[in-house]
Amino acid sequence: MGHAREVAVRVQVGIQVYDTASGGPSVASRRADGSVAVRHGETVRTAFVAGDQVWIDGRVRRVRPIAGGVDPAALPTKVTPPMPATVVKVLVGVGESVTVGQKLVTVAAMKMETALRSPRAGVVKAVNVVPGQQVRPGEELVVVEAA
Amino acid sequence: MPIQRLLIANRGEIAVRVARTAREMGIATVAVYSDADADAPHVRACDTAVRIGPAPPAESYLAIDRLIDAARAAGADAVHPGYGFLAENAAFARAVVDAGFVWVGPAPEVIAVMGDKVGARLRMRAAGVPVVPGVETDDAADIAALGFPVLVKAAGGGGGKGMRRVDSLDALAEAIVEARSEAGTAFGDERVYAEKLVERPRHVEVQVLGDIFGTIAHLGERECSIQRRHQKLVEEAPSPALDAPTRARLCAAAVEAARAVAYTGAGTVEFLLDSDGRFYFLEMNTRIQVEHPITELVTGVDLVREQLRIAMGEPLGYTSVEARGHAIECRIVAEDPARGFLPSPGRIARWRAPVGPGVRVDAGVEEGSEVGLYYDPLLAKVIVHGPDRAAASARMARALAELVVLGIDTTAELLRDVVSSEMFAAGDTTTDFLDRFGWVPPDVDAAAYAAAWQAAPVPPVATSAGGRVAEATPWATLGRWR
Repeated sequence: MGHAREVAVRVQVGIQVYDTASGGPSVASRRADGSVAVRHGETVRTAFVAGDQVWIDGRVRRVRPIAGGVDPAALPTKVTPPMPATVVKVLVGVGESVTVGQKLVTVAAMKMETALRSPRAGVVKAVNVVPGQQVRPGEELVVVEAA
Repeated sequence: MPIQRLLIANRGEIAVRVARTAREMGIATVAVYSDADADAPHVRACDTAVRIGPAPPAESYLAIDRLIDAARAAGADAVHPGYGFLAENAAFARAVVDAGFVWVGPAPEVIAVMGDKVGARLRMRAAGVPVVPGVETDDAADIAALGFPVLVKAAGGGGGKGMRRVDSLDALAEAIVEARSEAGTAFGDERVYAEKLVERPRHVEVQVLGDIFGTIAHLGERECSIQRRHQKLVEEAPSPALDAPTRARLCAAAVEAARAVAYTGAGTVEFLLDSDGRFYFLEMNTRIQVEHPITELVTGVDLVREQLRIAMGEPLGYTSVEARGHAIECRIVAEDPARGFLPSPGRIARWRAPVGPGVRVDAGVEEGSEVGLYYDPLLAKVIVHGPDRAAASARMARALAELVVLGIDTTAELLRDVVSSEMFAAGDTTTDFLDRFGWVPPDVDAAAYAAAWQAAPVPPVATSAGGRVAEATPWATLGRWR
């Protein structure tokens, strides 16, 4: 299949960090209804995946790569807020080199501040917002492309 | 007078739920929808549908004239308001009646009486129903005489708006000013009053039904103590906190409350229950309640059917119904409990409702639904019935473990841990439950999540400027599988 994600990768699962290379015994296969069967020894569980969200047995966790080992072309390039929010700070400028996980923008909604981090290492191609601006999910606040 | 064609002046799960019973009764149904809901499940659940306006509620679901016009245009002969929106708006009920339609609810005058929290307190006290000790004034000296802490509350409405806890005389004057201002904004009515604060109360309510012949029945109580922002998340029937004598007195008080206003239709009398088993009238909700299904499961009575029967002038035929077993409802709300119940709008990328013995799901969404910011974040209710409380709790935990919602955050996982907890099993369900529970998402088998994530198709990366971002669902990438 030559699948981009079928290489060893360090991922963040919720707040846990996990190395897929570290010998996890789970084997997964896709099923016709779009779900994934995860086999772990004698146990088979159903997982549903949508974007970075993975559902297993009623618990949803976001799975994100946090280090190298992934085909860079498969990584997202844009940074968008998870909820309607106001931009508090813009921490990078166009042309700046950034690392994966680096804070790019902080936003606030209902008095809670959230840092939006770079999904990949690369160069900031565009910064489309300024502090005080109202933003919504799907809007590209920052674009990071491969160096 | 029979109802032939019912307009449902609502949206979401309650509109779907009302349409189901109407269909069972052979009544044609008319949905109304805003531009945000043109393809919503409630529109397809009804026989016909009428557009009432743009997405903002003030121009659609709260627009009395447009709803009346829609009822006329669709040839409806009755209007069911659901809950929320205009369900407890006496002017809407009056407009429906004046336009010649059957109003599925109590008389407009009764809605008005119970909607005025001060008027309702006075009416209930006169009828011998216990009310929270308090004063129907915003005079600081009178309030201080109650002894602190007190709650300053809005006369014009509930939901925690215009409500202030005051612990000392120093803070009272400012709290009154703030509460008046907030109440004025929320309800167009600046009047406030004060009650002595009941510490760590439970919220217990009684379902009542009244017919036009003066028969009032009660269908037992529901406990709804587990809340966030004064809004309920978990409800159960019966209450784990009531013994038989207290239950009998509570239900009798609710019947008296309904009788005092010659109540017709389905209503809910809400009480605070203190740690000594004393209860106090809080308010009466003059509509179908969100959590009505738990009463339906333990009594076998279809409350919407009873609402429609009463509106058609039929007699109730009973004054109480025996409850069997235990029922629990969990509200699946588009909020992130790991981040202070932050709203979580978005598109529902995956949706799979639980099934199996004793499980009912009342949903207003489906896979692909857009959850916007205009309306209530309630997506669906998972309701279970079991022979006893422990069995019902285990059944709810099982059902919530089957529920798949992806694309947005919801309360499902939190509530699954709530009903599985020792605190819940012990019946330790006061209104501050969630603060004490202090939930954080537990660690999971990361290997399984990582394996599933790696096996799933790669979401397409958005590239085009100004173009719509492709959705990262497995369906969107089906072609890349092999």
